[in-house]
Amino acid sequence: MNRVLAQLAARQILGRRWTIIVMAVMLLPTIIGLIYQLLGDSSGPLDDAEFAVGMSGVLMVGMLVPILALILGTGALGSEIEGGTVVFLLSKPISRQRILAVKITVAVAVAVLVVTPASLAATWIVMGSPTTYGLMFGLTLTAAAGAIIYTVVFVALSAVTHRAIVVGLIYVFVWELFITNLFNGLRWLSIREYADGWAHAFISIPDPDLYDPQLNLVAAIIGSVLVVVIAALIGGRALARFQIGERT
Amino acid sequence: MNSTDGYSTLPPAPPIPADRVPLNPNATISLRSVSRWFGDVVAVNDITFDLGPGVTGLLGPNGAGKTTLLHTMSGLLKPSSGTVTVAGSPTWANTEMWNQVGLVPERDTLYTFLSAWEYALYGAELHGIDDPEAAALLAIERVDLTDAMHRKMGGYSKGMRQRAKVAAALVHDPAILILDEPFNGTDPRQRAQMTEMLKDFGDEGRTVVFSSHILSDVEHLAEDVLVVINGRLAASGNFRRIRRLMTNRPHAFTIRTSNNRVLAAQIVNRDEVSLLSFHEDAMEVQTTDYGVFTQTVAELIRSSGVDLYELQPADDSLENVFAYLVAT
Repeated sequence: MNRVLAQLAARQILGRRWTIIVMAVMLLPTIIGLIYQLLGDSSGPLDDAEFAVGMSGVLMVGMLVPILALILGTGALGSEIEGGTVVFLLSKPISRQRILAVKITVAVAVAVLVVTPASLAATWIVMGSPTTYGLMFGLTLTAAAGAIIYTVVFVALSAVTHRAIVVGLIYVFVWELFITNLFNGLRWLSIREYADGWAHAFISIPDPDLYDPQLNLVAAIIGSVLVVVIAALIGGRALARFQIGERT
Repeated sequence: MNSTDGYSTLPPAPPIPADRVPLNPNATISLRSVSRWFGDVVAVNDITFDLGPGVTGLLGPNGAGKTTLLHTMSGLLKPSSGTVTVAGSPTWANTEMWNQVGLVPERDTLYTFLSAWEYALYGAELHGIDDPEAAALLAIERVDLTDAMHRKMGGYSKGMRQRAKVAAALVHDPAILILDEPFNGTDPRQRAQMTEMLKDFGDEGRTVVFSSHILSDVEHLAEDVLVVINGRLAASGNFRRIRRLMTNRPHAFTIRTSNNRVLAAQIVNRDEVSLLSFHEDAMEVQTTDYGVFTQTVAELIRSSGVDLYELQPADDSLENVFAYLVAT
């Protein structure tokens, strides 16, 4: 890990307006949780659990986490390539794979630091307790796992194509939200399912229909590691082969 | 176009492929049959040359392939064919070469949220320099940016940005400096400063290659030029020598004497003189044979008994050389 590279990457990511905007949007689940509690619609912990699982699945992991990862991922590398500042890094005696590794590490760290408190707060507020059904820990683990996998994939995607935002959005909203929901067999190929699977062993709700991930913990770990490693390898290879002026 | 000053610290050139033009042992940048195409467009076409210590200007109209050529030299672009070596090693994907090479890209590639001081310091640290702060300060002093070095570069003028880029490229004291359009956006005072600085680098024994489409900038700074036109190397070397070698173009001389008409009568009938015209107190002579004319003109002046005030080539400016090359 190169301290200077990491510092530069962090300043670059955190200095972007989009990063601040998307971080503010990450407060949405907490605000919704507060509204839920204020309106007092709940008739018991099962109702709360249904709301918390739905909010996490649809809003947090289904939408906010991938968007955050997309903004951080493209902010870490894509914007540098587009803006030309990447030449500063490429003209140093540092391997390009190392540059990518540092960018991924920093973007992932920021993603996890943003997602974890957002998920913890939102679930705690909805459930009214940090321990009921293991939901706070479980759903946060899912959100953090999703943040890690999506961010690695999107940083790597930035090295592969300068249309990373468009490709990323299509992946999230067409593949993840539509196609893998339509065809059950494809759920094995979904980052969202891998993220969901991480909580399998930690959440136990009396009504099993409320939380029923397709993958168990082992399958989720294997899937997650595979995606992360393959994405990093492809991204590293793409950055190593990256040529100035070729994409414009 | 090479001298050996300052070369001794660099590693030796690689073995010479038998079927290629031999590498010049003094060269720090060598291109052999380099071509680069983008799809159907040929940006650089079969270019071979050597550069050694000193300043060399890379000249060419917009779109001639200058930037592509500089990008291949700096290893940021892979040649479609041919080889590029810098300090003896191939440039493509060679991260180690950056220990000896500094690059000033054409595009505004600054982190606007950093100050020039931070930019140079990050650069020095990424180069693994022992005392990065001293190196960064030295580089910033060298480009005369000390007063503004703690301001964010986002608020810099174009000229200040150029200097910040040069400072970052200099921070590790490279033997080779590659600059793409370093005069872009600079005002006359900054141009003069940049010219002096690059001349100094050349005098220090560094290999400096810079591109420009502004001929006067090149003329003030570099006698040695590479002229690229439509992706091909149209000429390389000392531009005055290039002009003399253009035998298909008449050479013009301005002559001013105490009695131009007497001298004109002596030279107007000579075979090597193709045109003679008068301009105020001087006359312009065009000759088809540079060698014969320069040998005989002194004798003609002496025999005609006039006093010579001025005799100089009228069309060996870089602008003329360039115009002739572009026209051919």
